[in-house]
Amino acid sequence: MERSRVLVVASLLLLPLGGLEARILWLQVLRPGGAAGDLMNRSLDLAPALRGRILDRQGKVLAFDDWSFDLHVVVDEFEKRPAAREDLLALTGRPAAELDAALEEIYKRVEKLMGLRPERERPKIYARERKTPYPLFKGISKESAYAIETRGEKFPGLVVREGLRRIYPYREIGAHVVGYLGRASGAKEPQRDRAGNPTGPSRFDKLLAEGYFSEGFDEMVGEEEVKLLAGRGLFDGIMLPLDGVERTYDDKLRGHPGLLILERDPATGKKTWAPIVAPRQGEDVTLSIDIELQKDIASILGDARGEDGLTKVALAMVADPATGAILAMQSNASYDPNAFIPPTRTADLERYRTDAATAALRNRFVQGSKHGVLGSIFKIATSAAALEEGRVKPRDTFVCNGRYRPDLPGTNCWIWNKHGGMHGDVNLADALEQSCNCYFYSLGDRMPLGELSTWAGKLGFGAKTGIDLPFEFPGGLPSPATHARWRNGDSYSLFIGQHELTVTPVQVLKMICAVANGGNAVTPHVGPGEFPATSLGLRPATLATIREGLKAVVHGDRGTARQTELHAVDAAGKTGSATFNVRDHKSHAWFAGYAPADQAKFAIVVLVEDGGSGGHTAAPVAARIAARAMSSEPK
Amino acid sequence: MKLSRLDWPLLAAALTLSGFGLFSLMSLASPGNLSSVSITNAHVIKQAIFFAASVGLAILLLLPGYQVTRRFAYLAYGACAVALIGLLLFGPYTRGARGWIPLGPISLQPAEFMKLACVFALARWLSFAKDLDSWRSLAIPLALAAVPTALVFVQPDLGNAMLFFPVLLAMLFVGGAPRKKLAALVIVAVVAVPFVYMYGMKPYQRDRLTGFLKTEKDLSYQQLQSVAAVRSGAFSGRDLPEGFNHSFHIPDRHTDFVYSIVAEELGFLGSSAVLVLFGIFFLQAGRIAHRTVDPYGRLVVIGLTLFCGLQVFINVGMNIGVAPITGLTLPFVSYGGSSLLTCFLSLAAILNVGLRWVPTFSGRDMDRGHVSIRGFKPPPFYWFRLGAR
Repeated sequence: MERSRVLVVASLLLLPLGGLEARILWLQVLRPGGAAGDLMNRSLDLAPALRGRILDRQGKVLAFDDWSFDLHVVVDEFEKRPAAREDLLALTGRPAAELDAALEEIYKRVEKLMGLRPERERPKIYARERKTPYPLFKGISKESAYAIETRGEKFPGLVVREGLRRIYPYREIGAHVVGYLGRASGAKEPQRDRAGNPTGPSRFDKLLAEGYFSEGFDEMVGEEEVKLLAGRGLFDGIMLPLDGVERTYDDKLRGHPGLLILERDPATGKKTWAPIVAPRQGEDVTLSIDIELQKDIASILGDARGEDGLTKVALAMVADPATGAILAMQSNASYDPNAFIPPTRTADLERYRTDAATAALRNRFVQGSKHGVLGSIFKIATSAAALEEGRVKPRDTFVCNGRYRPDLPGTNCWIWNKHGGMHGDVNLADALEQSCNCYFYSLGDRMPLGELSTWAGKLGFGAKTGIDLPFEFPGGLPSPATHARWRNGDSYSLFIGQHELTVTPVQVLKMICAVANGGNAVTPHVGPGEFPATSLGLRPATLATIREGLKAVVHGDRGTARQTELHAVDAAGKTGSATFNVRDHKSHAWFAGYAPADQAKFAIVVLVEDGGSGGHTAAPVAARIAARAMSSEPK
Repeated sequence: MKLSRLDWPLLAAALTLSGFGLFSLMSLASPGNLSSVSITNAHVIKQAIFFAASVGLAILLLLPGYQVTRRFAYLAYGACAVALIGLLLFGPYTRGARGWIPLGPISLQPAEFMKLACVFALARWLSFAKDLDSWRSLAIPLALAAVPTALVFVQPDLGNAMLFFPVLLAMLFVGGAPRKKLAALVIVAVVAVPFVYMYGMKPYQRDRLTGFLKTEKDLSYQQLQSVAAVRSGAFSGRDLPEGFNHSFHIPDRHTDFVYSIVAEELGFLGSSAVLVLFGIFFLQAGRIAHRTVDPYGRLVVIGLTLFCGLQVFINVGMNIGVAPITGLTLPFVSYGGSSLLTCFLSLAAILNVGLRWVPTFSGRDMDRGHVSIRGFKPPPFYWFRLGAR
């Protein structure tokens, strides 16, 4: 034991103290904080981050963020000058009621924040929050912003902050692809069960807990502070993806807001910012969509009429059959996504929500029409099943005499119902060409229903296609397993695509792509990423027979689409008239096809709701779209 | 026991430091200060009660001789180790770490008590060690320090974990271990640091540890705010007009960043005063360690003072942006019961050694002739009272 060593340790303890003393001497005496800095009021604020753009295949911008001005208010200072209120109203031209409502909202938020803490802390919270900027108006005009910024003494407590506004330049064109955004404050309702009892946290609270709004904040300012920012409503203006590509590619598109300390001199309104967390901009997403084609399709669909001469809801999809990449998907029942961006156009939104006839917000491409019936186009699946299972040979013929089973009234051929006629001897290709029901009823007697279900499933019916758009419906492929009362006639109906078969247009697109590209099941998609195609294992002979039939639909003497211009682009396809109201003879008009017939470059699906006959209403529309698509094809 | 032997400057320094702590708490709780709204007068009262209780307990602990602690050193060490292990197995997570045992209105931090127990255990081992010249003889003290380091590190409480090794080194040094062996230990530690950094730490711990090494702009939010607050204190502290938003919002200001309050409110004068008071504390404690002839007492004083000193350096350093954020409190000043209680227990132990510097017998001191027993007349039952060997 050496006592002198104690002295060594003691002096080692004093040395660092000297170092620390030198440092505070430097900080406090040689480089003290400026006097002006001391008089600043400081608060945390968000630095907005640009959301990524959505581009079409040529790089045209379908959605982008534009800078705008938001107005925040420090209530304590604002209320000190009574005239400020009138001045603000006169400047911005907003009604007094709106200002009152906004201020009321701020007081509600402050009360809520106070309610979260124990009683004894509340007076201080109240005093602090009154000195903190709160969002007041979104999207004020440039002129107002300048006036407020330059004349701080006239508008005490008003703080202009930069904001962002999503803009969709093509409006209704491609709305169902691009989707739209909604304010985060709109997602604050808790989840409820059928009876209306809350069952879980709101989407907003969930996202807040996941750090959706505040990624990277926690390490810097802590969880409590993030909650405070949320309580002040700073996240409420952030836009959440509600539909379309905006939703599916949100992880790429969304930017992460930054964090800054806003320092304000309450006397002059002078501001400085000290960034803490830098904002991160979102990434652009390039789609396979060709917006020019989409635009032309919109004008073609604009005057889509049914057989009764009335304007009908119509939609069309064009895709590359080899990859499933969608070039255009447009409906004439579309909406303007700009209407959802604050300041929202409430009249338009009301119309979108209440007009049941157009139901513009419904994404029929992935959710189907109200009556998702398909009709004769399903005969492609029936043909594939029968040929693959060896239940019929391509040249086998059946006789159609108009009525297949006179004891079952539902088993007439359409030609009997419409003209009292019959098709006579038909083989498979003929049956597809003329859409002969009796032929497929005959197949129904030759093969078990299970084989049809298997092949229809393989071709994509009854299941989601996996398209990169949200809220896809799987449709319904009925079978005795799903339906308790399955009658013999139901099987016949299913073989021609009636009964309770429900489909979405994107499923039809998937099937027609498989026929067009040589038997590969593709995943229809609009966005970037890997969507590999898988072989269905169809025999070449099967495909050849079906394609022969589909070609004859357009080119044959008795093809159901022979009277259209489809032959001009060497198209092939299948028409469908899907009855959804037997009593009034109402049916959806379908066409699904591809062009050119031998080396398909485009797959096309057209649906005219309540359009009557597929050959008469849907096929002519498809012809115009195909002609437009082929004309833009680079040679 | 003679009161004149009590080290009054040491006691006064500690009490004044706690006074600074109460003052800064009152400053945060004042109605005009809107930067830490969750601090209210309730905190001030609670801390004052803790303060009074701690001081009272410290005075009571001056009555028995500090040698009692030697008897219970291993027992206390074992109890704290069991508490730490139990905490890791069953403890609740408090702010992401299993460091606190909630007991009704208060919560205890076993790591704080482990510091005391570890010092007592090390001192007992070292004061009885036959020699400290071989690696074999160093194995036990190394293990005594390694166990709490590991247990606290995995909580995770990086700040407290990294205190044990330097304390061990200092105690070995004073205990008489050869310089070469100590140098080797230091080298091993320096080599091990990068490995622990790479493989033993979570990313956020790494960020915190290295954040302060970057330029001033890259300091974390807390530290930036703290440095700004310190600077705004200037020479004599700042005086804000009523109704101003009290500047800087620093999370955990009343515990980890209490020094920045003193610096902001009282300026260079106040922040220097705190450092000077700690300087007096270290000097007086060093004097006691030097004066006492009992190796056990000396080792205890060195160990406890070093724990205190390291915490001061790291905490003040992180407040002024020259040390990483580690969650260590400022002894005597920071808000918090466990921290304050252990500080005053340490103080009681140091003062106690100062009161009883009379020679005691350790074989090794006798051998080396440091202790003269000429003229020493043991009081009745003195040998008995020294406790079991």
